[in-house]
Amino acid sequence: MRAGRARLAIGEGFPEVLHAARAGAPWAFERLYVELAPVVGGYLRLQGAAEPDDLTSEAFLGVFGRLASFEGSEHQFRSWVFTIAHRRLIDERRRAVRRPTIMTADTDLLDREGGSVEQDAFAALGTARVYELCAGLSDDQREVLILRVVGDLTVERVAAIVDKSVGAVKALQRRALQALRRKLERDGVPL
Amino acid sequence: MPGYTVLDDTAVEAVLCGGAVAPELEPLASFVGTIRTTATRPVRPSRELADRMASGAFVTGRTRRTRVRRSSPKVVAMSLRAKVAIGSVAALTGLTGVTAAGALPDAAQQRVETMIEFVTPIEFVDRAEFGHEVADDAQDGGVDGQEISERAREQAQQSTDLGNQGRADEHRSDGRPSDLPTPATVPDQPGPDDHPGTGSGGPPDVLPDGAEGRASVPPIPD
Repeated sequence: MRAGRARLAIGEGFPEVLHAARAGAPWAFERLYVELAPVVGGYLRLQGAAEPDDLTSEAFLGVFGRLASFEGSEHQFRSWVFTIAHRRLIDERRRAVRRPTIMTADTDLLDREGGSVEQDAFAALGTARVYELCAGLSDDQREVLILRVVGDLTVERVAAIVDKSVGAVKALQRRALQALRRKLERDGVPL
Repeated sequence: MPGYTVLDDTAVEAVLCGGAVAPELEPLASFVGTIRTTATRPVRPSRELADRMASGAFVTGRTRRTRVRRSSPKVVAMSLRAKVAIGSVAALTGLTGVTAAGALPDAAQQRVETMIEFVTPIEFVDRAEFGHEVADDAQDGGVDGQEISERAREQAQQSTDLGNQGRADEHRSDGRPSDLPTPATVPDQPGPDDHPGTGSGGPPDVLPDGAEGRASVPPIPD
């Protein structure tokens, strides 16, 4: 079981990594990218980004290009990264003027090494189900839910990113969970 | 119809953060866990990002912003005719400067020189001719003070001869003064003004009365 507090990917070594990244050390960029790119990419994918991988790279170009302006802890850095990713997503939506669509199953899971074919197929079906159910939420509900779950961000940090009050974020996440719960019980599809 | 457990803040936090939940919320908690696992897939960086990460080439300073200069209120308030006139003058001035510097291509240079000579009192020196003179000077040893001194000495000798001839005529005649003016005294050696580049050359600051426009060598009678 996970703790209620968001986990730290880098931990105590974060200030050193951040300092090295500011100095242009490739290993530090790689460390930050490896730790955070999967969750940023997952956030963008679940949000229905047209090109989530490209958008993730675009977001990290912005993050690494502005490291000099960042001051704070790893929690704050994580929140800052998602803030930039969120803005990149909004920019993409403005460009495309499209609503998030139901994503197709992540068939790449079937090609990965490790695990049995049945397990991988089950995981792929679960991923497809996740995309489908998340796409059924309202934009605000999905935004808040994914930032809380995938981003591992607190209510306060999510409120700052989406520019809403803490109370509004709490209401949105509650409604999102209630909607998911109703769909899961109605459909009865196991994950 | 199943009765729903009310999702209070504690239950919501437990579901979202993977804490212990009531049995009726386990399917929901499991689904939230699946959402979390979908975000563990590595993302391949773009070529640009990979290159910059490898080289550390990121702009870590301030973000550069492009400042757009706006026209001053005085310019905005001008009439269209005034703007066109000012623009034309500025363009012609700039074109004249560029042309004077010889910075245009040969064909354009010739045309623009002709146009400027037509609309302005400016005359351009034939650069090809000037080039020939420079080339000739370079081939025969260059322009030196000796050459200039010899020319001056020849001119002085010519003036002296004319002066002597005038005095002789004066003595031969019946006492009436000659029509030819008496030349000024010419030194045997060239003066400092005859040697360019020696530092003491150049026109005098104060000319004697009546010196303006007077030729140093009297006209030679036919």
